[in-house]
Amino acid sequence: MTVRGQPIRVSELDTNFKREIIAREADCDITACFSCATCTSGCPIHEVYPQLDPRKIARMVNLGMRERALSSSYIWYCSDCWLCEKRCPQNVKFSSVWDVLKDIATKEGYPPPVSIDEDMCSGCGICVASCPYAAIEFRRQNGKRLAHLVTALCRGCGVCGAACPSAAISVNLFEDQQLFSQIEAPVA
Amino acid sequence: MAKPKVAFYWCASCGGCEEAVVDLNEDLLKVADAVEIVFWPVALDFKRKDVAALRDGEIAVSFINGAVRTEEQEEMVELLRKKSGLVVAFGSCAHLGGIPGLGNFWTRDTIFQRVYKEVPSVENPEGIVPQEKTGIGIGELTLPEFYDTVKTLDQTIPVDYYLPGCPPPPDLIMNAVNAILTGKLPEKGAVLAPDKALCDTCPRAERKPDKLSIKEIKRPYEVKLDPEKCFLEDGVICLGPVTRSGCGETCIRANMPCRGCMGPVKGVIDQGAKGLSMIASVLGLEGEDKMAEEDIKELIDRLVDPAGTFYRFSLAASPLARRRME
Repeated sequence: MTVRGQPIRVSELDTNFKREIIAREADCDITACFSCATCTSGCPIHEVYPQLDPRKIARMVNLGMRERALSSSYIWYCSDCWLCEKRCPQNVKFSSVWDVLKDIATKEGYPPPVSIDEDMCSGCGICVASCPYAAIEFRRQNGKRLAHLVTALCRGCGVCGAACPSAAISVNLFEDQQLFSQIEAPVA
Repeated sequence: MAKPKVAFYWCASCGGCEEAVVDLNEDLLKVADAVEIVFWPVALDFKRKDVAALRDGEIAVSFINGAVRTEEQEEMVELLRKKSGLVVAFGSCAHLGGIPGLGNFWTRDTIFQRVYKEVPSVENPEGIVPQEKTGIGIGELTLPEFYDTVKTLDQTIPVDYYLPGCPPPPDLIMNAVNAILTGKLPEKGAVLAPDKALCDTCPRAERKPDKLSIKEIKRPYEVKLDPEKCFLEDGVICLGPVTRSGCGETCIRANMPCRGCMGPVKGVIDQGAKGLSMIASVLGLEGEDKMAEEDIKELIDRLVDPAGTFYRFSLAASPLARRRME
């Protein structure tokens, strides 16, 4: 795998990666991207985490750095605000690109950063009921019900984290600081 | 060795917390044996001057119940803070503002208007309301100021520990007293109750459906409540999922849903907002995608008094704290 700051080895690139993405969703033509960084300059996630950068993900996809793109936490931290897409001078449909990347990442074992703290879970079932992907199920432990995350189904939408009345579910992609940044980004 | 000195005090409260102390039954005798009670207005004849005469920090622990509504309460808790090593906020009102905290939906003027002029049982043709100063022939009478906003105890003075509940259950009180007497106390600022939500210990948890969905919100009198079924399954708002356990599930066992007196679980700041989002997460789940805006509104409008339902005990402590002052 290519390491940050190291030369990119052409032999390790999956040059078919961008075509694979376009094949899944026709409006994902990311090849139009020439790394102008307009997306990055408006991105509220980049404001909070400067190391997370939509332009770089786009570049990784175009170069075929499959593993780096799929394992990047950016795709899960992305809040679907669509500012990148709205501002892109090349009309790249970034929202679809991130969606497809999430799909592939989930399938290939790069799950979203969601976790359930069993010490705090009361088994109330609000998360099980509200998860749109049926990715949380009950498991029994010492006769009690505890919420259990099925990572293969999780899409990192964050609904469970917001709904959990016990603050037992941590969805790293939805911290207060990020939410405030998102509120401020369109206003600025 | 001298016995540790203990004080009890009440602010804006109903007196139920004092009852809770008496509810210790014979354990109360053990407590009375182990400590020296130096102040307890509801039961013993000590006065403010007796507290003022103590050295700073001389009282080992002060148990203060009730929210802070008046100038007198503020002054007394400040005095007790100065004289006490530890201060324990005792009960929902001291912890979160409690029922008196709901007064924060109003102001002093609107409360006085209602209580002293409009209530049907009141006859007050001259429209007299309490005054801080009233001149009478031979001098001036004074009353403490009644504030516009009810505050929790920790919004008034630093608080070391919290005993939640309306009122706190006897076993939690005894645990707290024993912990203080033996010096085995948790980290400062801790709530002396279990961390998990009530569903964890709910006697109805076994029968709870795996997937909750509320078709229609109902009030307890509209349903024949099955004493073994989860309230939420019947559409009756139960705050068990957003409320700390440790209460002994007394309401649930009496076939009434949880109203939230134990406050939020560890790590949650706003119990009311969590309650609202909890209900919003499971309301009308079945067929939600086929509902028009009006259908959703109708579903939500079935919820009578959402602010009072979700913030029944925690309004004063919530980030909202009160209705905006005009």
